[in-house]
Amino acid sequence: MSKTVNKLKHNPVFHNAFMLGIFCIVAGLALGLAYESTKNVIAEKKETVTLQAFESVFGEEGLTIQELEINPDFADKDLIEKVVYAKDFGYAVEIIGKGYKGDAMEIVVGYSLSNNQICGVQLVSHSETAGLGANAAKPSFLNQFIGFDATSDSGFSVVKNGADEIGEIDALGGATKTSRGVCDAVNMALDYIQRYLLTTEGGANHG
Amino acid sequence: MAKLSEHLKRGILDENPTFVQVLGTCPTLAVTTAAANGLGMGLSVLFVLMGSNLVISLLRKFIPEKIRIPAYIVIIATFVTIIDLLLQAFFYDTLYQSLGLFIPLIVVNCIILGRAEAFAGKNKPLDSVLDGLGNGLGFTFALTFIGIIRELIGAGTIFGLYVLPETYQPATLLIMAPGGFFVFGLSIAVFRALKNKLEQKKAAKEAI
Repeated sequence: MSKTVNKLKHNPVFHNAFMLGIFCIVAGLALGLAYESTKNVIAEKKETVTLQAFESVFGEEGLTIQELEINPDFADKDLIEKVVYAKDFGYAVEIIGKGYKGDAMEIVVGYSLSNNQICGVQLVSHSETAGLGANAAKPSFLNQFIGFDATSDSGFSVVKNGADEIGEIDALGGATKTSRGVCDAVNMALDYIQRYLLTTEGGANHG
Repeated sequence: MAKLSEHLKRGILDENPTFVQVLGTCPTLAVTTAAANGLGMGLSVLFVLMGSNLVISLLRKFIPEKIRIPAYIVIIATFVTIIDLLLQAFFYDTLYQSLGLFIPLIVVNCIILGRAEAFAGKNKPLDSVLDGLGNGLGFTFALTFIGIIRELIGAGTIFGLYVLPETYQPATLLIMAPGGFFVFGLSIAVFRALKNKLEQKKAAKEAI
């Protein structure tokens, strides 16, 4: 028995594999420690950022926000992350859009019940190129969605030269894919609002 | 202290990872669309370089030669993941958003593996940390420099602040891939030219 152990100990392949294994285990432990100690901070950060987005689409602070259950019959559950009802204001939908390289863009669409319009759109997080697609986060681009009558049949579409009709969005220079990604996401959110949240069944879920 | 200045001079000037060694080109081109991103990436790489150089140097007698590359990668990947978590925790809505995909890619940044193999695997811990510092600062300087140029001409801002007048029409080409190559290539040329001049002056002085 000890002869085999001795043979194994001096076998270079076993020795290499053993050492590499030790490195991996230690590294794994260090990573586990790092993960655990930052887990809560990161989760809190994400919550705060999303909450801020929900409040900014209504342009108010300190709102009473109630999270609603997402009805999978009217929405793609992979794309719609969260739906909330802000007391006395309206609904906000957090949705994932597709950016230039296919990366996720976190978008929040706010709908006001008092005047039946989209009252705000926020780009919460994205990986778009600085100076190009990243400009989609600017109010000058996002404010184009405001004021749209959510009860109308048509949605938004991106145009490259001078948007003049309602529902036409001016694309960002050099960032058409990003513009379309945001537009498609807003349309999807609008769709969910129209076909579910504004119906009697959808509207019954909140206080 | 002579050692520190030696390492700094080497890393920032004589063997600048970006302008002389021409390593880590992929993140260089991708991240320098804005000066702040260049600076952020540079500092992240600096942290990983110093950390991985230190650990690899400390363990250099225990890492079997035949598996040194996988061992280095495990160590480097651990540091990069830690920095990824730290960025998420403390810079979630700023740096983490803009550096995004490129943070995990730091693992395969040639500079880090290159210094591990060329230096940390064969030298003492303190020297290795200083080498990491020198190369990291050289990389940070290069990235911030290129980032400032591309952002200034390509968007009219530096670190997000409008420097050029409203009427300036930004040359967005510079923020895209071709612009990146142009600025990168020209920067290497300018840097080398200045470096050569400096060396000629030094040689002339010593000849006297």
